[in-house]
Amino acid sequence: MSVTREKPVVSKILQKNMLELLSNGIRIDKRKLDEYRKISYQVGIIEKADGSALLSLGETMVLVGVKVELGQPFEDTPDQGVLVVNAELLPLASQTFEPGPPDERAIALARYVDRSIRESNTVDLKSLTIVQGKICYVVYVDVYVLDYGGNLVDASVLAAVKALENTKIKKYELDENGKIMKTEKVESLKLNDFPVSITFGIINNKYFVDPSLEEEQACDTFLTFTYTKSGNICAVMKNEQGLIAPAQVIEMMELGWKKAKEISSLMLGGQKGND
Amino acid sequence: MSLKKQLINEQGIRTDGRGIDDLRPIKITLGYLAHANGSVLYEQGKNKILAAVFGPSEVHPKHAELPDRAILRVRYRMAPFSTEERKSPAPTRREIELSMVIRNALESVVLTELFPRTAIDIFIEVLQADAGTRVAGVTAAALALADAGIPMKGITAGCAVGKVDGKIVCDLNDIEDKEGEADMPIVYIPTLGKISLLQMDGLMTQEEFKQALSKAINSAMKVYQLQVNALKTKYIKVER
Amino acid sequence: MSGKPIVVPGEILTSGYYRVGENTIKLDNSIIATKVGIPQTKGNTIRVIALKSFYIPKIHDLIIGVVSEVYYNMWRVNIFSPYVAVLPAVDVFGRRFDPTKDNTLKKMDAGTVLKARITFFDRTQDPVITIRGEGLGVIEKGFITYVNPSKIAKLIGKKGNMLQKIEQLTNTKITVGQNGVILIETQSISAKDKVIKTIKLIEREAHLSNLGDRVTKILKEDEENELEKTTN
Repeated sequence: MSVTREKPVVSKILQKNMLELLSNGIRIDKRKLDEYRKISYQVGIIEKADGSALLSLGETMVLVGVKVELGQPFEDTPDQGVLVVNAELLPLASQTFEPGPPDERAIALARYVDRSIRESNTVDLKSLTIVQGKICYVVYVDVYVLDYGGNLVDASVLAAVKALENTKIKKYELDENGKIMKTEKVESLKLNDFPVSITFGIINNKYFVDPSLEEEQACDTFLTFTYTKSGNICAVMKNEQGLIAPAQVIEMMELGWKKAKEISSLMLGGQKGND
Repeated sequence: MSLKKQLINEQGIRTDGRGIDDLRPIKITLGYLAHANGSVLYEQGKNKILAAVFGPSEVHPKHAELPDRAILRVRYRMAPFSTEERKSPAPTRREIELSMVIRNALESVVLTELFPRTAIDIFIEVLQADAGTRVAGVTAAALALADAGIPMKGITAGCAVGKVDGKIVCDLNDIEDKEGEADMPIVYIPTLGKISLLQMDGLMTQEEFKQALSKAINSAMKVYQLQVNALKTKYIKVER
Repeated sequence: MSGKPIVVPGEILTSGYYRVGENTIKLDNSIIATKVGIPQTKGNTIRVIALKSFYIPKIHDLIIGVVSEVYYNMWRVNIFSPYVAVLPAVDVFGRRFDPTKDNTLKKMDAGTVLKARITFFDRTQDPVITIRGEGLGVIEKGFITYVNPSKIAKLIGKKGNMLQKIEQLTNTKITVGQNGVILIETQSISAKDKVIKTIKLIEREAHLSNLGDRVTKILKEDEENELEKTTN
């Protein structure tokens, strides 16, 4: 059962200042309406994982670990490997995160990351078949939110894709008796795309990209688009309770694509910060 | 791999005989249940969705209550027999996500601030699923809330659109949802001109997204007309 | 059967200069309905008479409730509202109430039916009721039924004439709690059934025209049926 949560208390002065600044096109942290916070990342920092990425977006920090194991393909897709995305909002990331199994916020986050990767066909699932209908690779993507400073979605999608890019598969093959054997070969996971998600915060019909924690607490609602490399849209999600006018949805979609192109060019390579 | 099935023929007719902008037949039975404060059986094509509302009532456990408004508690569930293959009765991640998405779509229309420290329970049971159940669920929930006499700012009307055989199509059925290229559920409040739920998965160009959004809003307006008619006639019609 | 125009939540009632009445809110420059019901203007106030509602306590309201929980210093009373009422022990035992000597449970246990008045309520705290006052207290006998609170005005009628008519034609005494709970005092089961049937008719058709005629008809109809039964 999904239950109304208490809205964080935002000081009225802060809210007023935020609105005043927004109508002049500025934000409380002096960013422009279409400006992202600093993005930096490191890949491969978890040696025991098959792929990993630690990414910060402003004060938000997300660690994604990828593990590739053997498993069974789904019955309806016998010629494909399996992708599993899970997300944990760790209690050390925020006082509002509680210990225990993933709650609805964590599940919604995991499912959005999953859709962004799956619908853009980023992981080449067909290349993960070993024996059709019997054995395949299962790619487990675990999103660990370490520090919650707003805009978990964009940070998680980026970190997940960087971790997948960094993933190496230990190859298994069938021997002459038809038995599955681990080989010495290691291959990079084959990726087809590089999806980027862009999240907008909306207060009083004013929208801006990449809401910080303070802004998030004052926002009425959020809208996220995920774009493929070629500019198609592969996932959309409106989050939280507020309302959006249809015309603004289209404006955000267009602005989002501009930002997605910028961010994806920042994300090339193995280790980087955009300062 | 077998060849992909054609879902729209040369004349623009879909597998169930509809044109690309047509909705499935919708049937609304208000006050379907005797004991809930408000209820509805909402049928859209093969979808059969039962929504019921209880409350506002005292909150248990007490600490869950909010001092300045009523809380909404939403449960979206699919019956084990509602799908082609039996669905396990345990709540799935999808159901947990959709319960939240549906609650978010309703929170901004229910005047919860009028009933501080109480709870309004909304139960959505999908008895038979045939694509578009989350938006049908929000549509049904709005009807059940109005039927329960719970004050609202407007009525939420939902419809899904999608991309099938390269075309933007309204109100996907099961096969179009499974085989189609994209699915975009939306919930719209016609009297406010605002969107309260928007999701999309699949692949669309930005041009297609624009077209899909405008078709979704048109479809939601059609659903809204039926909701209004049902609410008005339930009380005008007197059965003996 | 014809009815008055019915509005639904979100429907614009007027964009003119009016005051916001019951079941309406101001949105931008219009007044909109928030419930399914019939709009009504009185002076410069516009309101919607809801077709279905629930009871929100008002100070001085006469209500009928059922004790749901007993504590050492109070009773909690179900008043068929989103809010559960509190009856303080002091109200029953008097100002010299002593929790070490006076036993609330022995006085009234769960299930006790009360006729009471609301003495305090502001939505931030549970409503407080009293059973001190004329005609208030524990109800020992009679029959209890329920009508949706949105229909109480119609059930009572102008200057109480509808209620009087039902009482006269069924030879019963009826107390209507503002919370929709109704006490029917009579010895006759058939009279009680007739009252309930009439109340259900009013609940169903209150918004339609010629309600009075239909109520008279149903009350007389039953009389004839009963005559038939007794003569057979």
